[in-house]
Amino acid sequence: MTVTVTIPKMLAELVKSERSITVEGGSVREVLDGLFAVHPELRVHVLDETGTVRPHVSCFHNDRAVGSLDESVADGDTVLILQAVSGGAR
Amino acid sequence: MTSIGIGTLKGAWFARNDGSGWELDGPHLKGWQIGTFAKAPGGDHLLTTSSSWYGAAVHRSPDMGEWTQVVDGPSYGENGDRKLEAIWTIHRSGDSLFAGVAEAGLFRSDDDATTWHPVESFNEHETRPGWEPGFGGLAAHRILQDPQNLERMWVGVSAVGVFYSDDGGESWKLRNEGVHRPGPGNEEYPGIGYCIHCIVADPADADTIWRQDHTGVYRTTDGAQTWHRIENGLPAGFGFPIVRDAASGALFVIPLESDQYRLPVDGKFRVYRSTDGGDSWHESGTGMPDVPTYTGVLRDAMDTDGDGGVFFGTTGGDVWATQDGGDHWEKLPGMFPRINTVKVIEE
Repeated sequence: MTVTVTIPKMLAELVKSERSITVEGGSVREVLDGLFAVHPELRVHVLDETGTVRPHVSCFHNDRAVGSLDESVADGDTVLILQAVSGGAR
Repeated sequence: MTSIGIGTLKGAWFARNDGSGWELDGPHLKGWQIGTFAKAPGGDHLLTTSSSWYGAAVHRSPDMGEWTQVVDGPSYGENGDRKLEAIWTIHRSGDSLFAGVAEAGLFRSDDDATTWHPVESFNEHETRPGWEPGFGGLAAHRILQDPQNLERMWVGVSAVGVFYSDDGGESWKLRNEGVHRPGPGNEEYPGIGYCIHCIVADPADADTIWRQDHTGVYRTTDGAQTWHRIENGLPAGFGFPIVRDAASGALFVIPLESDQYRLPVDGKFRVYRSTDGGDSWHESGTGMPDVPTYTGVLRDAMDTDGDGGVFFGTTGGDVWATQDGGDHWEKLPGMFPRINTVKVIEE
């Protein structure tokens, strides 16, 4: 499946990339792995050491919050990674 | 040319002075919390980042212009529940680098900062189950080494204490005798519970180390086997940084009123200097604010250039400098976010 994944501007600037890139994958997890194959620096910023999405990072699939990284994606779907509104205490 | 790195809660700036005044360059890594600056054995500049949202990382640049993240930076990996929160310090040891991190641990790179590996002898120290964080987190934030014998290292961890190795980091012993502990301590691991804020050594005599601790200012002359208070002339023992000017041997601290208030005593924000190895302290120089100034300086936010230059940044976002060993202080142009780190940069 070909999926468009969009990342926050701060992360795009970090890896000198466009915010949206197209990757292949059959699940949200595979889409993220596709993103990390292109920009391996991003893994540590999206996922924690256990492979879980960081507490203050939000992940949406077709504008709905991702419940499980194993949920399936279809051709033309979108995955949006956002800096959560939480986490900005300082 | 004097160059300093200013690492803040929201990015890095570089201030340069070729003798005609200070010029600012930045922000770099805009929005990222900057942990520290360092230099790789191959000559690249390094800086570390963390974030309230994202992970902690090392970045490198050949020219302090374009920064590239190190992909295989320090990481605790998937097996375990430790999280890498921030990289507090990077210390060069010959052709290797050591990184001190939070959650407290050491990592080592032997390939010019390209890959990093945990120092298991330290990270799995027998007292590890008892390690507790201070207010700033559980962090290995200071690494010293004997320039004449690289096997000898000292590492400061808050709020655990100073560790010492005489075998290149193969084994570690706690070295905090004589230091007052801020709490009752740990019954199971009685050697820990010390809240070291900063240490600095005399490179010509590595056994002499000065310590700004949570509970006061101390000195050892026997490689940290025993510590003794040296607070004669200080308005308060609490503070965070302590640095030493190699040219004059002068020491500098910035006292704050107790761990409860953490403010300059009566709003009098001053740098205190000792020119006798810590036996006595005196308010240094001229140029500091003569109006009430309630700010502070964090442990990594003060550095020296070895030639009379002392530089520090405040939690209020000001950067201060002296070029004459503390006789005269000037405030640099600009106001920044909360300043975590100030380092002299070798360009």
